[in-house]
Amino acid sequence: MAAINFISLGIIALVAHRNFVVVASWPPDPPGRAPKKCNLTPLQLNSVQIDLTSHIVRVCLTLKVENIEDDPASTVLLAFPPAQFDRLALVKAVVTVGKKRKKSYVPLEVNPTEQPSSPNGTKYYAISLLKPLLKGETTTLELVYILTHSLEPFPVEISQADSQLVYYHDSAIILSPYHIKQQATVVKTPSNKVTEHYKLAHAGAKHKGVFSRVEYQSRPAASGVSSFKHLLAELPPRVHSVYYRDDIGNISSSRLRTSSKKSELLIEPRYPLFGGWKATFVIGYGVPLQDFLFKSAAGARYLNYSFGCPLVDTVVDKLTIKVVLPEGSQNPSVEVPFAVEQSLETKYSYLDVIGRTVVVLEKKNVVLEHNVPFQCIDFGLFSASVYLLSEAARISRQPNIDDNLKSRDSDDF
Amino acid sequence: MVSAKMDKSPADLLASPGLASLLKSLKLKTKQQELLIRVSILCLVYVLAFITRLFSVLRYESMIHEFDPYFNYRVTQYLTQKGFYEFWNWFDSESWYPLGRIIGGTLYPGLMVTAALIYWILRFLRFAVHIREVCVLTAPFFASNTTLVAYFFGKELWDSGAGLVAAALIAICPGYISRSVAGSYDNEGVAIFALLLTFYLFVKAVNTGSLAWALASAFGYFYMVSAWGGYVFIINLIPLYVLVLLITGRYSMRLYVAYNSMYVLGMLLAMQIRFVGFQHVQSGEHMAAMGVFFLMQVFYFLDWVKYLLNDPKKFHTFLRITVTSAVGLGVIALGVGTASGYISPWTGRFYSLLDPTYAKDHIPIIASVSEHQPTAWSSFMFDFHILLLLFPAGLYFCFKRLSDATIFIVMYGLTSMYFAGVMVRLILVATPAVCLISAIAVSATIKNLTQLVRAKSKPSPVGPGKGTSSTKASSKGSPDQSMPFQKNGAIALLLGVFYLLTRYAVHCTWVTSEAYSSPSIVLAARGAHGNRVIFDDYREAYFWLRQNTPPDAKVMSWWDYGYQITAMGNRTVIVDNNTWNNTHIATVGRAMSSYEDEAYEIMRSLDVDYVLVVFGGVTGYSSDDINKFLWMVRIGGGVFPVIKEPDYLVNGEYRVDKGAAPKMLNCLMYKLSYYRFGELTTEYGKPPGYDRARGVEIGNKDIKLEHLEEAFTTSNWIIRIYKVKPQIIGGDQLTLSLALRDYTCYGSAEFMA
Repeated sequence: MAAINFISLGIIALVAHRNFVVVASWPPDPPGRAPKKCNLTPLQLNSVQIDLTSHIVRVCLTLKVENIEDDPASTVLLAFPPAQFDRLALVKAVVTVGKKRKKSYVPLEVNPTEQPSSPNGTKYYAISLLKPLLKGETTTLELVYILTHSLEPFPVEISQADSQLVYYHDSAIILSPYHIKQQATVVKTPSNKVTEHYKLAHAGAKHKGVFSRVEYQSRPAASGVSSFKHLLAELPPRVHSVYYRDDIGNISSSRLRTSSKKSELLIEPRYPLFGGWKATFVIGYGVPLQDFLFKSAAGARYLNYSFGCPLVDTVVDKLTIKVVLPEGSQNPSVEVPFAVEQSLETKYSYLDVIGRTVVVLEKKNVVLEHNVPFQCIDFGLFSASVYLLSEAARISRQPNIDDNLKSRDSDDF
Repeated sequence: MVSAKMDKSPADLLASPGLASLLKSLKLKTKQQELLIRVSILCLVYVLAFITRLFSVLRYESMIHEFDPYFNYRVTQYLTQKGFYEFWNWFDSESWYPLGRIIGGTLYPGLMVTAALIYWILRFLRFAVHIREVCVLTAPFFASNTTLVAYFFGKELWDSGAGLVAAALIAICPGYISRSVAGSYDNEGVAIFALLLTFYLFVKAVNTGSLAWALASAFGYFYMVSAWGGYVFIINLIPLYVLVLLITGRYSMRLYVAYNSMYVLGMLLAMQIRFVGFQHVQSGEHMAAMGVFFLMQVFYFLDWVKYLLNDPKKFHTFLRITVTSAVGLGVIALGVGTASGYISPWTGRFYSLLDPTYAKDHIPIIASVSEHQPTAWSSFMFDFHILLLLFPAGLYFCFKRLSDATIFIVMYGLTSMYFAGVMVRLILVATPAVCLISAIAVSATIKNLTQLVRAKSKPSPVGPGKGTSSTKASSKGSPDQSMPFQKNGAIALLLGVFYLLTRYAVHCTWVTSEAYSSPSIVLAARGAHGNRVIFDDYREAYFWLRQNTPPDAKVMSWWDYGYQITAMGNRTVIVDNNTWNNTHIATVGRAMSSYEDEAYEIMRSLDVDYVLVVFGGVTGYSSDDINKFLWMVRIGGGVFPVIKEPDYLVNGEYRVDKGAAPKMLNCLMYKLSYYRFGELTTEYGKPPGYDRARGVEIGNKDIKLEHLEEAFTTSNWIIRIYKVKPQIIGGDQLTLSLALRDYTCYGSAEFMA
């Protein structure tokens, strides 16, 4: 009967390609200036690691924080330039507890905050510490944040046979509202080992000049190095009725491998994608409901499904997930381990009278780390034979295409 | 599938012991049993007609086929999204650039409105269907409805047995299936239903003289007019039929009521369709109907005078005077109307129907379409199979039992068979008539034979299939002792008939599956290991256009692909399958057959950004642009005398290899098709640049493009798209003068056209 229906509108962005060149500019930015009115003035040794092995930039920070003021401090502020703030997919913080042997990580709460006086539109995240720091006390925080769309193609236009280079621009010294005593920055670029993996796509330099099928066919290695052929989607095990289509019909170039642990769908666009070329498509599948629908102790039924986009190694600019509950569901609630925007909709499908409740979850800048289960709990009646269906993703190389994307409603059966 | 069809063969109508005993156990009266069998056969035929058209959906996917259906689909989408008024007033700037096309005024909206209505009803009932599914299944749905109409028509013409056979025959007849498989979303899909319905209702009206049936047939006619240009056939056949009845002395009040009310109301309704409008009273094709209408009044008047005078001598004098003056007046009116331009002359298409050689000499654009070619014998056999033999037999039966109704079907059969011989696509119009007449033959033969078989044996208490008691049958059924082996002979003949019907079912299924269920937009071939290879190049190219070209890009291609490019590629085209402007198409033909620099000027004058050509040299796909090229030359040359067909031929022979004409080797179409093809080895053991579609090595392997560059070529090379480079500012004097000359040339041509 009823169904769960996911529609994710995403943008898969650029994957960095081999021959990575970091044309880094390290401007001698002044170290972070501390706002005068701050209840905490701590902060020492930083280690910054920037991982540029893929199009998703992962930055790891290790902060040693010391409270040098009299008042106990309970939050640490993390500052980002406004441009970077928009591209942030995820910010996580952990604190190390215990000594070397029994070392364990405790996650901390991280929330965006507003500060009354932020120079140049700086944006802040506040990390809540486990316990307030007294004067002179120190603690070590491990921070990870992920940036998307931070690599720019360099040069902007290339021809069919050229390799793709990208450009990463960042400040070598992190922006901070506190006085920083010491900082080390390490930049990691892709090694040869992982080259294979990242040749999927590139940072989207515009294809210029001609496309030659002769070149592409006869010298696939040399010609079209910057093109992109396959995408891999990891689907749950035991999927069935998989489809892969676009606005004008079925696309026959896909392969499905199923195993007991996961199913892999290898999809190929209708044509090889060169820089600046786009393709949109929809993939959908059914899965057995008993794998995902459970009954809680309180008698409510809940759906446990993975958040995020099943396409491997892609960034989704904006992900919308819709859970279509059966007719008659009431007061559904959703548990997601991070902040998402939630809303409710009503959808009419086959032979519906009052319509089905749809839970809509929206999240910007989704990366692999967001692929964690979320729960949708419903106190109404979940019918036993619910089918899960269809996740629609849209791929495009244009970063800001969300607004004009129309998701094709994939109907549930 | 075959066995399912066998169920519906008339065998069921006749004695089948198992069925008979089963029915006996139900304790039904004979009439009820007969009704039950009839209804269940009809239901089975209804379902069968639908499912036999689903081969393409099962084998490929639920998709729209061919060329024209893509336009219909696009328009239907527009209608369902924007509503009826927007649709009616739609000016489409995406086609016929820079002219555009007023869609609402230049199409038959019946099909789209029907599909949209079905869609809205299903949506209202909360069936979450997509408009594409509705469009794909519209034709099979209407084919099913046609079988019902065929049943009632057969019943009206002969008896219910003939009706059932007609329904079964038309359900699987390849001549009809060719235009009504799932995905073939074209006007003909609903038009054949409307055509047969109109005829049925009109015959019913003539038989009963009832005003209600006559009005119903007028509405049937209105639906037909809204759906297809083939309505001209109705508005000429019915007057012709009335004329024949008048000549053969079968004039009656029933005919008077039926024709007059149908014509007047039908005309008023038809004029509401914008594409028809005042043509219905002004164009030559519709004049016959009007003439017969006036003739009917004269007849009525004469009848009245005859009644009043009550004196044969006086009446004869009066008759002579009236008829002479009436005919004289009619001729004068027609002459004045034609001379003053009030009555438009016949269109080229109409002429080419009456004179099959007309189009070839005068309108190459009509002659270039493969479905407008005269029909080959093999196509008749392919599309009709045993019906071709049964048709004369049925005519014989009709002549033996002449009535107003059988005269109609005879006339319908003979005229439509003639048209089917003139144009391949008109086999479709002949199919219902052929099925009905053949059904009469089958039904009458079987009835006669079974009566012979049952004559000597004791009459069984239950006689399924003998439901319609006909006086003729009972008189024939009387035992005739004179003929020896009569019973055995009859049994042998019956078996022969069943064998033929079985073969027919097998043939129809085979034809449907092999020939008529290919979407033509996706090509399938058998690979070396017997596996199926799919060539999806068309959609690859159209989707590439849709995603990777600017939204306002103009694409030039030969007109065949216009509808598909606008529907799937969502880009503006210069010409498309609605061939309303010959000059525009000729301009494209001229560009394709000129040298690159001349073509560049033409393309620039049309703001062309991309050029799309279809090329089958790699895959051996034979309906590509090189094979259509001579038609481009002819159509282009028809308007622009600069293009001469002999320039592209060598000793009257069309070739692309080394011996080809120099102009051929350097024209735009040749260059675009074979650009860099010379570097490719297509077949093992053949030199590079071997064209598999024509089986030769190409003559010009060193092709350089000056004003165009390759933008995209699909994986099997079937579609090649080129980008037109922007012009370098400050071109030399020569180019400029050339451009000016071109413009003057267009102007004069446009004026002449």
